[in-house]
Amino acid sequence: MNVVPFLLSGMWAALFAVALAVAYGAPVAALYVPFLAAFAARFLRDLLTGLGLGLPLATVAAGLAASFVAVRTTRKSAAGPVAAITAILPLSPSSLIFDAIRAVIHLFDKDPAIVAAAATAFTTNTVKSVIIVAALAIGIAVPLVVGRNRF
Amino acid sequence: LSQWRRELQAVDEIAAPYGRWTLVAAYAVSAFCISRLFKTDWPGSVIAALACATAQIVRATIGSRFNVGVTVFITAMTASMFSTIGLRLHYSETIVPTLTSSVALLIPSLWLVTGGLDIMGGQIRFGMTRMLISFLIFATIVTGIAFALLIVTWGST
Repeated sequence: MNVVPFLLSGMWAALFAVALAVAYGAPVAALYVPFLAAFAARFLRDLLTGLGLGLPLATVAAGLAASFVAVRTTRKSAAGPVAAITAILPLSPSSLIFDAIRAVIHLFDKDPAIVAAAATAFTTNTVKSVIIVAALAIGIAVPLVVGRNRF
Repeated sequence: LSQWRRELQAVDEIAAPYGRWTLVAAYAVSAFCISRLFKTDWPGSVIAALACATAQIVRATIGSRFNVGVTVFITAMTASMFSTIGLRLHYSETIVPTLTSSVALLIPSLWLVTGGLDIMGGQIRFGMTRMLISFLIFATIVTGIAFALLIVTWGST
């Protein structure tokens, strides 16, 4: 299996998480945490889905990885939850949500076939998004609740 | 109650660690990276980054004057209008990922995930409130995108 695309995805996700952490006001000294956590999470999810695991289970595993890395690397600071949250945002179902949004726009078309397709797309994407969000919440909550940091 | 208010006011008065243009750059980098994750081509990624940076400038300018709904509406409209103009000029072939990336940072993923965490932690009302606000923001984004598409595609069909 070629892991280079997974490494690249992990790198983009890590940079995304760092930029987002800056946007959320995280201190410079703590920026390596979202980088590591996001890289681990995205790489793991892509690897597991590449190995044939379903997206929800892979997302739970990725959330666990991000949260575990965040808790382990921020034992003596309060940056754990912030790092974990910014690390899992690259895993959030933004494209599914956007597809649902696009479907909403087409729900009011005059053509019944387009409306039917939009309704199907909206329902499917919304349900998938809810499942992914729940998987992320489960994955991220376990190490934070078991470890020192709690929400 | 007055002590809580004082504490909240003290939190509110903490200076932001980064300047305005640093935040604009951070949002642009975020949009660029997320567009790479969405398999957008390079010109599309640049369009998404510029659209997101423009939207962030608009958000920072109007954010203190209007409520969240109006701010998100105008920001979504700005971002999608900017990226739609770029796409209509045929700078990129990956239309949907570019549009998605330009407004992706407005999607309240943070509120959704923390809402899920609140519900799991037994804070049902907090969680449901966050989820409800997220869905209202979705509706606002939809309206903003629809208005932008309407304006940009006006008279072309």
